[in-house]
Amino acid sequence: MRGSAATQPSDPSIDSGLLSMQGVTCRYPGRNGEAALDALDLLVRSGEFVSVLGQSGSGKTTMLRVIAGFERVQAGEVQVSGRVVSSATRHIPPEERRVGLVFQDYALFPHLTVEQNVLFGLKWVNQGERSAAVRPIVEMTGLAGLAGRYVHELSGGQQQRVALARSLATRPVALLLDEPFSNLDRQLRASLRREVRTIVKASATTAILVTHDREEALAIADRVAVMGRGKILQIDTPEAIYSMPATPEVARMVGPTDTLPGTIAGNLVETEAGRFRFRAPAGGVTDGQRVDVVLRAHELEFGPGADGSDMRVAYREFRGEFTQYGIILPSGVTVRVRRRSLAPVMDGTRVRITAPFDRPVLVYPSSPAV
Amino acid sequence: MWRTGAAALLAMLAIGGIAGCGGRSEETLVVYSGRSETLVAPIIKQFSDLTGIKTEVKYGDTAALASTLLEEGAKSPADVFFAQDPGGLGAARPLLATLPSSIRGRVPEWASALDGTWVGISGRARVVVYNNRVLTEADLPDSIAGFTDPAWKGKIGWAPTNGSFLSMVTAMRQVWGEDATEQWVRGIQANGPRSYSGNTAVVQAVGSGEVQVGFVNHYYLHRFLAEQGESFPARNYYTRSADPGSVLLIAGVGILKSSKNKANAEKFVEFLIGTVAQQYFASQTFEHPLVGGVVRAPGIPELSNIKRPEIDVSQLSDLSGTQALLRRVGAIP
Amino acid sequence: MLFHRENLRVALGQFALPQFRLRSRSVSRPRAPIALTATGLLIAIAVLLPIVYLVIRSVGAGEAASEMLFRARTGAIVVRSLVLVVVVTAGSVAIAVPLAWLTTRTDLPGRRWWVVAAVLPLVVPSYVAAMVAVAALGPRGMLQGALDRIFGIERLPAIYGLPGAALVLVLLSYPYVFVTVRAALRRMDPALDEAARGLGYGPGRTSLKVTLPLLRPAIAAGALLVALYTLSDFGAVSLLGYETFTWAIFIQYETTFDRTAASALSLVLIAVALGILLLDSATHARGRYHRSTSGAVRPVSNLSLGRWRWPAAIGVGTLVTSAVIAPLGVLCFWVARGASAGGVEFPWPSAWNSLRVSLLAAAVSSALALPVAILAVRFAGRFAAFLDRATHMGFALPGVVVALALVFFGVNFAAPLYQTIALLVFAYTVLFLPAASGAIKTSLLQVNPHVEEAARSLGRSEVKTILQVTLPLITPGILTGAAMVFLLTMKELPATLILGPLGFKTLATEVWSAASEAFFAKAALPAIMLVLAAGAPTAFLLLRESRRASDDGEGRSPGGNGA
Repeated sequence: MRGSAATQPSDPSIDSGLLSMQGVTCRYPGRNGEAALDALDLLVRSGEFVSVLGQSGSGKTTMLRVIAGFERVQAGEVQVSGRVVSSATRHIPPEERRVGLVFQDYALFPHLTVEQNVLFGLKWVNQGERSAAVRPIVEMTGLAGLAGRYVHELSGGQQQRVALARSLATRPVALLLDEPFSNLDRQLRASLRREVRTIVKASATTAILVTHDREEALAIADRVAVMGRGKILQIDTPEAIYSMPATPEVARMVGPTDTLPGTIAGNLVETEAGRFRFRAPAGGVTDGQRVDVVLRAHELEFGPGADGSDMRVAYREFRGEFTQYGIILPSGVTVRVRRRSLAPVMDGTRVRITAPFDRPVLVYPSSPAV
Repeated sequence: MWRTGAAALLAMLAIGGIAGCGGRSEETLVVYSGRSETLVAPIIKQFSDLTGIKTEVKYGDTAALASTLLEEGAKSPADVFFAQDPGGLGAARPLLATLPSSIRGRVPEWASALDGTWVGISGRARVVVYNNRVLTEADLPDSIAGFTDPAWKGKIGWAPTNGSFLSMVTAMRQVWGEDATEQWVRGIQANGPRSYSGNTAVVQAVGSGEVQVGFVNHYYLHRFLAEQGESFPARNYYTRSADPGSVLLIAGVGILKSSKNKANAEKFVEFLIGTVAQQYFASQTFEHPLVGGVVRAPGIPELSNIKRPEIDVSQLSDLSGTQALLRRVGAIP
Repeated sequence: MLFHRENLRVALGQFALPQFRLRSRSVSRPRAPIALTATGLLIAIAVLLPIVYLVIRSVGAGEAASEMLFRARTGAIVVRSLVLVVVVTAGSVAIAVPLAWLTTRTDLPGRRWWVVAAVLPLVVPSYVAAMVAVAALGPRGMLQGALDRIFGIERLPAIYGLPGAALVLVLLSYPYVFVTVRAALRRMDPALDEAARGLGYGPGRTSLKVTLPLLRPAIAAGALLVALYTLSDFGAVSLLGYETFTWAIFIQYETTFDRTAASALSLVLIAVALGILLLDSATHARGRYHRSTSGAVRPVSNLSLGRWRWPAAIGVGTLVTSAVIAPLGVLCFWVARGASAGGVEFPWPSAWNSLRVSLLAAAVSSALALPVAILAVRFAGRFAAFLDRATHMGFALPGVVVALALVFFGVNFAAPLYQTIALLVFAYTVLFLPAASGAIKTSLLQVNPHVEEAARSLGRSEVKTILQVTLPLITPGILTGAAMVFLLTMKELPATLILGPLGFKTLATEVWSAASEAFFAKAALPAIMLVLAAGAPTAFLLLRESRRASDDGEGRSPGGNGA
């Protein structure tokens, strides 16, 4: 009943799965007034799968808990389906939000069986229809044979599926996933990731997934929001965010990078490691401007250096599909470069770093203090 | 399923509990007894059987019951306070009614309150209990004062916090005066007496030989003898001289001013000082009856054969001075 | 599979990290539901009645009382009380923790029965235990008698004073720690131990570095009860001649009938108890104790003791013998001696009364302890801390003080309830509430709050979440707490005497009534019945619980919950 009110948006022009956060600030007492969420804005469209990438302490879990209703906000507004659920003066309790939260530790009910866990949220379905109501979800999540088991009798992956099924069974307006794969091993993580995306998409649920794993964030989502210091730093499609990170900080978070100071010289940027073509940032750059140059290991190459070259191979790591080299510059800074070639280049070899013609490097106006 | 069962059980218990204590009529006589149930329940039952008056008794420690009465004040459900010692009765005196002279007249004046608020029912004599395997009566001094002799070092047991002991020291203060009493306590202290929690423990310690003599009430020994036989190696010694070592302590009874049942309460007090009850105390609880015409239990001397000191029993209820003295000397905390 | 995951977690250092991560996320203090806070407030008022009474009584305190309060001797008595508290608490922890571990985590022979026996000292009134100790271990007691016959030893060292009082109180009060630690051990994730073993810790170091620190809240909860109980005990210290504060209070009531001085001294006792409580909260670890990793608790696997199995059994046997079987033996001896001298009568109505009020007290205390525990654990803040401390006051006060306070309030403000079972059960609740709330708090600390939040986001209100998720998960804690209140009530004396309905007798009052007049045989029979009557439900509860744990794993609730 409460649900039906929530799914009927007051403004028909806003689509029904929409979730928005405007200027949301959330502070914990006794942390020197430092805000966990600092005037945060976020908009998620209906049916969209958004991942939130952030380091530990960036406020990403707090954001989920604010949406789910477990933390109160001091300023700003959270809307779910066009209804204000959180503001400085208003706080809808979690149970009336129709937002499903999947916890990092799954938080399954240890006193209930798998089936009872999944049925837990379905209080409005009558007794006879309960099993039928969740059967599609149970099958979709591959739990069909496990209904009578207790959760301690399941493997980690199975527990994860139960947690997902339990949340989806209530048909939430939005599904929030808090680092759902962090307790699983690598192989399982990748396959379960695909599976979760398929399940969420098949159930047409809007989802927000929080993670500190960039590969996971990029692989699973329609859009990626990069978070830092309680704010969304950038939100865009995985491809766009990867190719055009708004700041060096975002760039660092979506892939391994090394940063060098450089100077703009015409259509090239001059650095200690060499001169490269560059992609101009949003504000543009002027000739002679000091910039920060962000270098990505797999977008660089190196060749034999001249005898006078003062760049040398510092170390070599064979990784199978590529070999990663550390190239030490005269200033002592090391730049990572990846090569597909199987022929090893020995440590100490003098080299020269280049960038392929179609891979311009990223430059950003240099931040004076850092 | 079992939850419903448990809830039903609890409800049943609760209802049973409340129903169980309802329905007491005004006629029922309520007695607060500081005397132990083991001692007085049979005689109270006999009273009900004889008179048809229903009685309800709250048993407890005399001091705790006196405190309870003081807290309850005029709203107390109690009609009668049957106390172990004059101290408890003295504490509750503002709440006690003056007894009719028909009752007061039958109890010796020395064993009742001067203001007529309570009368004595039975007496317990202070005695020296000694281990008769190591000592004979001849080894013991004429007066309790003699135990300050260093010869008794390490051989004495006492219960300095016990009410009866305090009453005895109060008697000493009356008879000997403050200074002599303090001298006596210091003298005993110098002999390193072993402290016990109560008379029972002292008698047990004397019997087991932990100590050789102890200052106690007379009847504890008789219970040990009844339970363990004549071989229990301890006997009572009533001091040869009339001194506070043989003072008689009184258990007494008073009627509450707030009682709405005074006629029955008076019947009860009359019964307690009547021959039936007095005989009961003499033969069943080994106490000294306070009215004549009663046969004594074997081994318990006639009151007239005990050399009692001349003291005012009701003054024994003033224990705070005694406590201050004992505290000053360091015998009690 | 599990083995694999455990290795992985160890490799990732999961056990060190998540605690901090969770902490920093959950600093925010959710607001407690109004109903819960209101209930808590009512409970606080109820449990603080004795203190209000003491203040009212002390207002009239004369010069004599204040003089007495500031005597050097008063200070000395406080110090003596504290020495006893420290010795008894340390001794209880030293006995209870290994005992709990042996009976919970190992293949100790007959461990279920040891558990039942090990809890029983809770029901032995302290004056009975002290009497037995004197009779058995006194300089010329039964032990000496036996030794005399065999070795010709004529005298044993005196057990009076600190050693005797401490010995008796340790043997009586270690079950407080035993019960809470056992409950915690049963709910602790064995993976934590396994992880430590995986990191190269031997079983000994694992216990010391992992198990013991994780048991800290349970040990603290139990130790706190031991400390406060020791403060309030009168029976053992008076019989064994060790002057404590409670004794000094009793002397005021007993010899001078000075309620004012007794009240003033009781307030000092309250201050000492508050000091202990503050010390307790200051030493609380700041970590978390619920599992921060995925999934549910697996059933506990038992460690094989190997060649230590029988030595351990002998050790436990010795303890149980001295704490339970020896007192029972002495009591039986008394019964036999009395039976030959005269008849013995079974006090059945008193036994029924004991059971009845104890069950009611257990139920009411558990019900009231629940909001206290939930507020303290889930909504920690000033009010919760205040409420939690307030509930401990009754436990530290001598029963007679609490009883007189309720006489005062009962007669003046609740006359229809005065001298009814209802007021008596209320008194028991004021006295024993922390025994129930401590056990519930301990098990609540081990429930991952995410599980409750999951229920909220699945559409359950706060109250329904508590009923459908929290309660089933903390059932073992609730039952443990209820059992402790039950046992404590079985032996309670001063409040029963003062507040019971007229003519109301329990086994404890029967024992007291006979023992105070040195009728040992008469005292012994109800005492034995007391132990047996208390032992039966305890055995039922504990055995049922361990059977369930062994056949269907941990934490299943009876019937279909959430259905």
